[in-house]
Amino acid sequence: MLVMADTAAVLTALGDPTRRAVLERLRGGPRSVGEIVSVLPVSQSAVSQHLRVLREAGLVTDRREGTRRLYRVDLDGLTALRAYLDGFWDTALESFQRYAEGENA
Amino acid sequence: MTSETNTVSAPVVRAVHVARSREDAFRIFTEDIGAWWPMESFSVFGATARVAVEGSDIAEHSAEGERTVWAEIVESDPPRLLVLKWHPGTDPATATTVEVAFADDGDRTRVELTHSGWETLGERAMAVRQSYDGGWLQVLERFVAAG
Repeated sequence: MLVMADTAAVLTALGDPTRRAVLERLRGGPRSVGEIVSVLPVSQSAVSQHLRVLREAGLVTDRREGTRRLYRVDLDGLTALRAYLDGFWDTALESFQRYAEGENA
Repeated sequence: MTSETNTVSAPVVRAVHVARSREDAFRIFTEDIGAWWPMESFSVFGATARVAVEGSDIAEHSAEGERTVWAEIVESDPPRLLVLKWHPGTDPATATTVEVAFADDGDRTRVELTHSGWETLGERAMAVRQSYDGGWLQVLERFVAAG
């Protein structure tokens, strides 16, 4: 949906099994790409690509620490999605109520 | 981490009361969705598009004739319950679940909507993986026993 663009990005990001596996790996704490790759049957470039999608969806943040770049779960992405859905359904249900009570049937 | 996750992991629940019978509320919610849905706020193709229930699909059509499916109706039990596989603007593989329950409340109807599944995609993946782990463990145990 128009305003759903950001939400769609989050849901699409979560929809891929490898990306969910990457997120699960990060639930244990910040990790480097290499540490994520070591437990997944995918290449480092594939994991980097998945991390980019997760970052753009606001689900993962990264930070440089010395020579390593560490990735961590960003709950802001999910919190924003939740706040969005609350407002989304409020608007839709209010519109339904207005119409239903105004309709002469 | 766990407590933080829990604060965002409850399904979204929203409710509204309408001064209509349950039968009317259910009918208007489904058959008249094209009349009440706020297309100007939420649509894929914009305010000039239209949405309608088409068989078991809820589909949007643009003025140019494009069609996109927002949801599949997976359960319809009028005038009590509607369950949707909800994926507007996204791949059906990323569908979440929307349940709409209609209940009598005096001379009005309480319409309660529960949107779930989006918040637990990660947890579900973990549960699936654990069930696979368990399955392989059994297979391996049998293999070891047989050897």
